[in-house]
Amino acid sequence: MDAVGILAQAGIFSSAQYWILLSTGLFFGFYMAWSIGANDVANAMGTSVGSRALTLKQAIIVAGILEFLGAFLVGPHVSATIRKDIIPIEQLQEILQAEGASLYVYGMLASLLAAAVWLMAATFFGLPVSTTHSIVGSVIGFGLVVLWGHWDVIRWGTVGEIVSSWVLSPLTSGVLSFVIFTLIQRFVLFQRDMVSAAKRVAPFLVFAVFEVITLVTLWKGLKHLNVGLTDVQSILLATGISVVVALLSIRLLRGVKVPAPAGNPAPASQNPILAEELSKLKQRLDRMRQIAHGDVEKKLRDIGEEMDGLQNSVEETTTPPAGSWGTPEMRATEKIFAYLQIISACAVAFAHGANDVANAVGPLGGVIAVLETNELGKEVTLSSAWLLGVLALGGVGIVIGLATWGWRVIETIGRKITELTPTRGFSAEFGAAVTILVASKSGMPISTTHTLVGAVLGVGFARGIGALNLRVVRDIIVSWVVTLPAGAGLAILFFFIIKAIMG
Amino acid sequence: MKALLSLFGKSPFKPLQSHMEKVRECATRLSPLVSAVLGGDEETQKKLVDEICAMESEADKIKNDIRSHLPRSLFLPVDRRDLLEILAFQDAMADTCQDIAITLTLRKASLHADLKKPLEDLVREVTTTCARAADVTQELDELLETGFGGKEADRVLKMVDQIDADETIADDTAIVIARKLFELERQLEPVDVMYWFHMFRRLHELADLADSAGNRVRLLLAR
Repeated sequence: MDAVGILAQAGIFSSAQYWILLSTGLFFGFYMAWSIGANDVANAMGTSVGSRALTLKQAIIVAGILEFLGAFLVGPHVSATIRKDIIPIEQLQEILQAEGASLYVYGMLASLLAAAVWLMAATFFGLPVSTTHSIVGSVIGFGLVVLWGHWDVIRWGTVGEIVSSWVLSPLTSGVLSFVIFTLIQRFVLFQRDMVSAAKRVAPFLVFAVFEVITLVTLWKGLKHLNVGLTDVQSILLATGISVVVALLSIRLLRGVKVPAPAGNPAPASQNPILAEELSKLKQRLDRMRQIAHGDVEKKLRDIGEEMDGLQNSVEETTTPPAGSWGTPEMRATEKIFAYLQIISACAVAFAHGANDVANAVGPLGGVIAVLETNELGKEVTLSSAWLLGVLALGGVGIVIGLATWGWRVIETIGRKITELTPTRGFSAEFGAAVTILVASKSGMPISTTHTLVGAVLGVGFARGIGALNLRVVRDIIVSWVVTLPAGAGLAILFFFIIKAIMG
Repeated sequence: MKALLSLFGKSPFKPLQSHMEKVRECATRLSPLVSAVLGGDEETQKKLVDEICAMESEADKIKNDIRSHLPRSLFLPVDRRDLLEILAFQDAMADTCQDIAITLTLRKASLHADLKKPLEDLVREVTTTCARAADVTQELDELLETGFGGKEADRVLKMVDQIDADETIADDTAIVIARKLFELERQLEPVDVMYWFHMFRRLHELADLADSAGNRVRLLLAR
């Protein structure tokens, strides 16, 4: 006991241990961020590339910037949940005494490792596993062994909240996307003049997206950067920014040259069907003439001659054959929405950075907090510099992941998800981004992918998508049920291995 | 990443449209085939019948492909049963075309000169009805894009009304020709009468099937 006490006085870890733990932590934190960048970012950007709203290169640059910003600006909330809200630090200290700090570091490192290994395994088996869920499962697993016999002190309430947020987030995004797409149908797609309707509606949608992003960012999101705004200030500032952007969008939309529908839209009185009908009527008239006699026959011939004249005048003014009008208008509308979709894709990238990056580096933050302060403080607070450093590491990891592997995934997704046309893509991304941001705000570590799946299903329920595979829903539920125990088990295993090596 | 990709199932709308295009190909060959039969041009007859049979079997392949990619777990913007019914009617159209084509070349039946023009009329009306039904099926992806509502839906409903009108005309034409056939029955071989009556019936059925296929689209649009 004395020896440990002295060790604690001088620093919990020897200098060698310090560097091993720190570098391992940094390495695995970076690996997690890299794999998120390589695999998950495509979710946000794939649709924009698919609809040709962005080139692949633009998508990667935009995604890199926004992921980084999201992690940097809104990330700390989620990161803190992973670090200290699942396992009660105070009780950990009480139960384990001086050993607590080192065990906590081993545990967090083990969680990071376990999540990374489980992700690799799940990818190998083709399960739609989320980074977030793996990390949460791992931290719970570590909590279970380190607090052996004191399980009542684990914050099961928080765990319950997190798990229920996994069900709630896809549901919420689904409902939001359903509503958004239904509104777009009602106010744009079902309108007589789709293109003008789209131009009218677009600024409001731009406003909505920006309002959510800026509000979530400002509203306590910037606290760690020492920008303290009151709620009212945040709301006013966010609204101001959004109004300006929406007004800008009106200007930009006016500049969007929408190709006029090919040829002149035929007036209702002069359309192809009319011409066809006339010629059929003429044929029937001829047939009637064959069986008619005398006066009737003569009258029929007169009518026939009159019809010939009518037919000529109709055919002259008749434009494209049946079926080909309406299409250019639809294309023009989708073009307008392609711009909106860039904005919503950015929102998803931002939200993704805020949630997933923060999750991935959450345990790393815990490790560093203890290594630097040399104690297991009540709050395991990170100094601002380290917090930003850790989140920046996550951000950089994502960008490198994008650059090395992610572009390929974005390309594949973009090519394959052609069903997510801009109107659909916007609706789904809007619903998902709002859900993820609000969840990040309240520190809920949710899965971006699952939220997006929920959002796409929402659009599907509004009759927006050709065919959706409902088996994915089953796979996702299976992955929830499997990931928690798997992450927990691996974390326990790694915990004992690390403890044996370091102890 | 995988989750989002595997979420998108194989949409049946495009295949349904290419199926209907094969049907259209079959139907448009009936007119020249009848001309070839009436003109006694056996070479053209054989060529056209072969083409119709080839189209029909291609349509069958597409049909099987659609059915095997339409599991119950697939979520569609329209009722799965309605879609399968449309497919069934389209399939029946292809089958009927093939049947008509083959039956037309089974025996050398002579057709009374008075019946030639009405037969050509009938074939034309029936083919028009088929083409109109095919046009409606071609609108399915546009309908999907606008979410099965709005003015696009109104337009398609008008097109369906049009099929009804075409089918009525085909009906009338079939009645006219059948009446004429029986007026002439004493001058004709009994087997010829039965044979042609059967042909007229089959052509008439083809128009009915086209009408049914088109009208099932109403169900997709019903709210």
